[in-house]
Amino acid sequence: MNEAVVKVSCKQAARLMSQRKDRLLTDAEGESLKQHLYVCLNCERFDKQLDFLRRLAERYAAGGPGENNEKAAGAESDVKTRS
Amino acid sequence: MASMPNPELKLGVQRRTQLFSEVESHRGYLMRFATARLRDSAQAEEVVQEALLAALVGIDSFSGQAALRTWLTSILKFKIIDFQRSIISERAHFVSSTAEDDSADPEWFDKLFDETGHWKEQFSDWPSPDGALEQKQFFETFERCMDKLPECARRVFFQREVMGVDTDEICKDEAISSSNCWVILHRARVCLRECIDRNWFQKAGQHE
Repeated sequence: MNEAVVKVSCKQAARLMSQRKDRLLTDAEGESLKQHLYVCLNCERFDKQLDFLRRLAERYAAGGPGENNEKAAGAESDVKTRS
Repeated sequence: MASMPNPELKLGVQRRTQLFSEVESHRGYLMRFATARLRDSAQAEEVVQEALLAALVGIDSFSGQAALRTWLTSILKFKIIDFQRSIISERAHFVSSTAEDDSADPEWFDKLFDETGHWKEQFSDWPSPDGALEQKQFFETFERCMDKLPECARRVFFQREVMGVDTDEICKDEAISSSNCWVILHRARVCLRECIDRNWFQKAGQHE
């Protein structure tokens, strides 16, 4: 529990940004990432773009652009169960 | 699901014809979906064919509440499960050739950072990303970018981000460790981000 909060590089931060989409980060990891994002504009952008990538993939699964998407968002929640 | 067609057809002839051609237009997506699950494109084709057939037979049970693609995908999922059950013993012998060394990053990945681990490239904000989500061309760019990923990364990314499968399940499926899976996903995301950036957002203004 007393894992140290370390200063991370962009490379390490990027890895954490990606992994928090796939697993729970430890408290120390989360704190390290938070501190890095606070001071690094480039990583903040990277993070936003990863978020967008996920929205894009979800939208793609729902049929891409067009009129069906609003319906798809509510229906069949099992299609897109995410952790 | 693909239940027996209602003897009293609920849908008019015109609507049915329209739906039939719409069903066909989702074949490409369904193929990607099935390939992500089955690895083998011949098997995927077989399963997609079965699913499309079931969809056409059961078109009257399509309520129109869900998006057509969502409905087709749910049929396909059942077909895939059936298929996987039928080959489960063969799969037990499958040894994944996807093991990647996650301690050392490949050269292309290392090159993105300087010796202190900072990004070499300055990223730009993506102008109106939500607008891009309304454009068919943008999704074609996305597909092309996914197709450029190495086979294994494409499959893992597709399962994780498009199909929303948990990494645990993907690991089992691909016979790889969790950390391997995270590494593959991270590299795939980095590649896709870069590909979309270069092929879409840096060309912003050309898509209007």
